[in-house]
Amino acid sequence: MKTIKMLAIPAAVLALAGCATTPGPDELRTNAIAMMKASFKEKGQAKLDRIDQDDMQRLCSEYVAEKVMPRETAQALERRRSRR
Amino acid sequence: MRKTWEKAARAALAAAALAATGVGAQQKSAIEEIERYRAALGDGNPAELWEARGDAIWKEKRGPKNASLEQCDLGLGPGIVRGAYTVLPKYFADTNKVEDLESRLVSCMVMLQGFTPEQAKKDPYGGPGKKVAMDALVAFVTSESRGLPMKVAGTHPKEVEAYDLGRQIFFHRGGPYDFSCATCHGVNNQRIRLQDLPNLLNPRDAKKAYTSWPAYRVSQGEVRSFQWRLLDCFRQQRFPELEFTSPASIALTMFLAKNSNGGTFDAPAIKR
Repeated sequence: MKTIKMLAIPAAVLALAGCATTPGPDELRTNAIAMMKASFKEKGQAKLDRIDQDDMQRLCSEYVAEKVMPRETAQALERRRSRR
Repeated sequence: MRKTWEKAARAALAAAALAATGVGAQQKSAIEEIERYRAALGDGNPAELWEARGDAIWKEKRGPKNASLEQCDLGLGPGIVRGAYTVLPKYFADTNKVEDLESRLVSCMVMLQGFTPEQAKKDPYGGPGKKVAMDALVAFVTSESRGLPMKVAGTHPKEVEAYDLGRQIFFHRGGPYDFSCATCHGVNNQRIRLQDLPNLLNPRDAKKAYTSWPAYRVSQGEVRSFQWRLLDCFRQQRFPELEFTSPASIALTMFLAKNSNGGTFDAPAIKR
């Protein structure tokens, strides 16, 4: 029992430390956009607002590779877009 | 009547199959011809001139401190150039940043030679009648990794962060064309005109593509660095201009470089 406790405490500490340092998906996206805004400069008609995303672009950038967009989200997005 | 229809349908199917085979064969033949063209060009790659010039600039005493770059630490220790490109981008404690080759060269020019960052970054890319030190240095340093496997560590927390941010940028859709890097480079068997587009999410393509930059572009008569490659990709997406050695450019490079681990570095290459 003591052994379990001895292992569990450092594991919990490590897990908490991990939570504190690894940014979640939302924070990562926010940081990436901030990084892009700081890394591009306007040229002619290509202004920095071209980095901004609408809902569709944001969701289509999020659900990529192995992460499949849930059917309900896709349908809601389609409905919103077709109302425009 | 029914028999006639059946005959006609069979004939149409046969014709379609024949046409499809023809188109497939034509595409394959075009790709093979381009490969032959590249192989022929590779026989005498003018990038060697940039490599030789870069070697001389590397050893030349320049800047306010009248020092050479020979003691620059490119990731394997001060003065070690052989194999250095295969570990970049990398975290450097002296700048507390993840740096790719170009940004590391800028840091060395600042730290060793006494240039200001603005001076060191002033001429990032060559053009007609304008040969710049950066292109030559990039050609020289990368040539010293030819034939070696890519082994970007990506283990330091700042390297992990750069990789994750680079991945986000790779998939970021935006701009007037609603493009992301993945639009062209996240799918198999795409091309622009006759140019095959590597799927950079596919390990085989990722290794082949990343290890072939920098490259001498025949159409431009210049050696183009990886920073230039990214700049021009974003230009084609109609994004604003990617700044030379900017954090986003380094994060994206980290994502692409680490994905090429295990691939044999084979550049400066030659491209159309």
